[in-house]
Amino acid sequence: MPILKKYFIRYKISFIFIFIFLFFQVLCDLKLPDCTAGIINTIVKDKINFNFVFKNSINMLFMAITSGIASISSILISTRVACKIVKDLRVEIFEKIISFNSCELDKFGTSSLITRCTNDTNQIQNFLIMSSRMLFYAPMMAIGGIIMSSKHAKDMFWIIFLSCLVIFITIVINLFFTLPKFKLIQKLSDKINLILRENLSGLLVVRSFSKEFHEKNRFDKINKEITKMTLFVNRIMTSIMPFMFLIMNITTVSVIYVSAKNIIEDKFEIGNMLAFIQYSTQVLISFLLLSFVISILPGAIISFKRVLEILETKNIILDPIKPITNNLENFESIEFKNVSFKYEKEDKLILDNINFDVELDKITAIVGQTGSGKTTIIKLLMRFYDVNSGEILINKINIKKIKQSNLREQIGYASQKTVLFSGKIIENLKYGNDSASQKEIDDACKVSQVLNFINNSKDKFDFLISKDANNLSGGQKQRLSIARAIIKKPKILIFDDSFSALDFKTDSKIRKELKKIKNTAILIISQRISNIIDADKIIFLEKGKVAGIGTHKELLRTCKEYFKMVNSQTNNVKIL
Amino acid sequence: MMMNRHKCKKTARAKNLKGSILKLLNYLKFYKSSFLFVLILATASNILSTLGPKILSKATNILTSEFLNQNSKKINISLLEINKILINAAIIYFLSLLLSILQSNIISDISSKIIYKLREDINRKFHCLPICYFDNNSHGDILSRMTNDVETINQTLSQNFIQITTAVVSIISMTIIIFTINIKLAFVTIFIVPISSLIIFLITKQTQKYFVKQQNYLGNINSKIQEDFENHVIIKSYNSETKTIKEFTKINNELYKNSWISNFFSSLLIPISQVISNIIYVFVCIYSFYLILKKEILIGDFQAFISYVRSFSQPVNQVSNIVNMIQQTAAASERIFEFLEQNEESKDIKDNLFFNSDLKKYIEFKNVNFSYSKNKKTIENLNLKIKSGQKVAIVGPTGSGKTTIMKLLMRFYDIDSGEILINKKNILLYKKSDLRNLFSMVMQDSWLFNGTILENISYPKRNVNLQQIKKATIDSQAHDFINKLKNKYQTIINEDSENISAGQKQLLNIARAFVANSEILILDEATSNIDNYTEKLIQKAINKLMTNKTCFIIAHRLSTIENADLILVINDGKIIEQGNHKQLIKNKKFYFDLYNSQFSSNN
Repeated sequence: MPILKKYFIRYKISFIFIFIFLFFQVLCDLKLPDCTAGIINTIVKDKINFNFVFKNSINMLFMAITSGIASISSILISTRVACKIVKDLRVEIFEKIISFNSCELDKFGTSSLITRCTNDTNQIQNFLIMSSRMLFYAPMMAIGGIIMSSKHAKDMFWIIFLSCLVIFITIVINLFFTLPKFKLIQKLSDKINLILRENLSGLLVVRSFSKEFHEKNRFDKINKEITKMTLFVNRIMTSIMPFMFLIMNITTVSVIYVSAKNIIEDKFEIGNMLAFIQYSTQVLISFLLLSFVISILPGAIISFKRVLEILETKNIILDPIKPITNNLENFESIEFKNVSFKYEKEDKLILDNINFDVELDKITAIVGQTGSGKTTIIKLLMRFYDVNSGEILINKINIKKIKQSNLREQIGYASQKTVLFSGKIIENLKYGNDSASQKEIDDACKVSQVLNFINNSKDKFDFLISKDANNLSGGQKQRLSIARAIIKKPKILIFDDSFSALDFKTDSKIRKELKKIKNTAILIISQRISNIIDADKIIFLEKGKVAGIGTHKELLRTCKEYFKMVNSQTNNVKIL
Repeated sequence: MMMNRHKCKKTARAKNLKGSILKLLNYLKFYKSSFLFVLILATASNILSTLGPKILSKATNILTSEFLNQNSKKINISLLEINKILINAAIIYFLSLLLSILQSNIISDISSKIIYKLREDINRKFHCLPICYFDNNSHGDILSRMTNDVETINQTLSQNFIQITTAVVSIISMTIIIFTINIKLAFVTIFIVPISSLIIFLITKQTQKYFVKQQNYLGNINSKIQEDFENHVIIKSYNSETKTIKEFTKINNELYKNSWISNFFSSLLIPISQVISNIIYVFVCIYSFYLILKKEILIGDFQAFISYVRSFSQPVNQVSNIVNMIQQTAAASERIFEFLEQNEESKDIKDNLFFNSDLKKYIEFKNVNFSYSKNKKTIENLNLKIKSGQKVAIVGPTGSGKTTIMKLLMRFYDIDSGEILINKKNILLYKKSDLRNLFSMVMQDSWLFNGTILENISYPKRNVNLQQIKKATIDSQAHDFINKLKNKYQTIINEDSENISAGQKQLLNIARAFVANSEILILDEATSNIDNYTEKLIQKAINKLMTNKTCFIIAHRLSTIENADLILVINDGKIIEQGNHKQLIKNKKFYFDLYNSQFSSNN
């Protein structure tokens, strides 16, 4: 666990202080029974010495208070460190996930990443808060207790040893049964999370089919399963403690049994027996504390492993060591050269030997059926995935030789599924370009036909977009995301099916305005011929292959499949 | 009807922790008799184990008395006696163990049942809440209530509940026993209890505040994480990783501040009660020596007393630990009950009407008004009559209220004023599920769940055979692509349905509508994600499906609705034009402009 080590080193001074304070606490806690034993022995022997008793009592009071102060100080430091470590860890995970590209993200799934970043880190925090002190305190106490008790009676040491052994074995057996179940419980709670998320996203569908009952049952099935597992684990976990108390009590009984003989035979004093009983209890209690930490360890380890899995995932797409930077300012072209690509989980190529290029100040369109690989092309161009073979060139440089951020800087992207962040409209618009002037923003909003909407709304640019942009219509969201892409002033503007929620009037207005944007290459992805009929170049995709390239007119002549598709749309579609 | 508007307002957060705990206790009342039994078991087990030191003290007393009056003849007898006492003590400890294991098993059983019930209730509630609740609250926050907060309560019930019973019993039985040993000593010990209680009370007051804050920041950070992970592609493509991380760090720091303080205060209780217990210990020692000298107590009694004083701190610690568990639980249960107490969708009336499935459905909107927020009317004085089997197209600019009309018709929202009638009866008079079953919806945002394709398609109906499903997929043109998949109909749609394309998703949604085969079809931009090639085929199939059905078609693309019987042109929530395509073109008004604009770029 090199990550733990890293945090340990980062906060080593705090840990040293925790250790020092706990050391003092243990010293004081251990000295107390010793003082009592001394007093009792003097009393029993009838050698009453008030001075001795008084001195010892003052000593004891002093130690009790010192122990308290030391323990509070150690708690202060340890809770802070525990929370700080988890705070750092959370940032580290978050940064790592943000650094992922789609290819790494696919491995985990979004909802799993969310639980790992929230639930699992909480589990770790709870564990650290409890264990950061206990892991120091308990062993020190155990060792100290053993040393002190052997001072009073060496030959009874085997009783403590035996009891510790029994405790140890119990814990091991317990872990053996519960650990696998803990894993299962975690999986089931992921599943519950998934069902709830699905129910949230499919709210209207579930209601419209009146499938509330069905969904309740689906949830109920998992709920039953997780209840069964938790019950099993809880039964074991709650039986452990009483069993531990039994061991402690039986230890005391055995100590008295063995010492009785010794005392009668005058080998041993009564005060020593009482001290020994107290030390043995302290040793066993510290063993119990350790076992408690160990018992919550499985849950924490599982959470920790799930977090570690994220941190240890190697980013597949890396920046080059010596990136080329100078050649991007004057954009000339994008070129796809013999590009082939396959998603890891699928068997067949989604893109098969793709060749085409995109030029400055021209509108290039990619059309094709659903699943023909249109969006995949864009994901490859933005390097969310890397090509399996072939090259993607920007200004004749392979995009793998450019820094990712540098590459994406050139691109303004409006996605298929429109994404806006909760917050003000202006914040969303300036998302790609913080220093955009009001005029630039106004212009972009004019292009995307959203300026009227903004100016008519109550708070204008300060209009608050709610979570998941529920207070905007699909068309408003799309127009805002188009404006956002334009405001970024990129060299390449990509519209990935981002006109789908717009009515024709708005759609055609936007496209007319887009033509006026200079110094930019525009890439439109669409299923609809009417969206791209006037593009300078149309790339027609069929089943992952380029079936034809040219203008609309050229393709109508040269590409049969394109002709068919155009026909299917214009050949007067009846209803719908 | 105005009532419904108020339902959706966010209720102010009542910081009533006591109330939340009481509500939680309400969940426990079904298990009253079991709890009583557990209480008896816990008491018995505890009394037995607290008797232990008292019994053992007899052995010490014998030892010391023997020792003090050296009498070698008695030694053998007293050794026998000591052994007897020790065996008794061992038996008592064993009995105590058995009872306590039995008790903890019963408690585990009850607590798991309660958590099960709580989850079930939350889930039931989820499906009864009005749609506007989900519009007004962030999904991350709702999710956090349903998972994190329930988990907190689970922890308390399953682990800390046993402690609370045993700890309380221990304190009581120990108090009684120390009084039987020596009243004077007992008073010295008990004197400290109110002092420590006061300290504990003061600390918990502080902790409470920070726990609520911590729980809220947890909710915030969860929302943030969810939003950012789901919008990952946009963050990357806009190079805003640094900005996102900065925002995250800010919330994270707040969370850190509150969580360390609340955790510090709550773990303060143990050392403080330990110091108090140590001080009691010292006083007890000093006073005992005095009493021993005065021969008022024996050394064995002192030993027993010390062991009680020592173990006194343990249940007190547990109780104080429980106090802060209760705080966490109260904070969590407050959030849960706030959710559980939300107003539900208006209930179906008791003597509801039934739809006659043979009867054709005639829909009428009468002076309907509706608004999402106070500021702006979404639908204004809408009047509309639709005959059975009519194909109605609704067109208009985005945000004009097209989809809202459909949502009102299906009672996802209740209208502010006016009436919506089906066969001349107000839709409020029907059962909601009956009403909604009249409709099949295919929306722009397709929805699939994590399950096989077969399960997804057969979703609307329980008893569909494979043949019906195949027919539906053939009709919706989904059959071809499904057959090309490795596992065909058994292909599992993964989380977030990322393993099939947007168009394929929509094909499955349309197939689902075929399976549902409802009387009224709503197509809300249904084909906007499907390529024309497939769309043409789908249109043929939908045409077939639409015969004898009333259809509502919401579309931006006017070419797709030219043949509708009735075209409604909506702007700002009002119908500004209606008629068929030819009439509207002749009118040369809004529709005419809209229609021509789509060809403008072709010219």
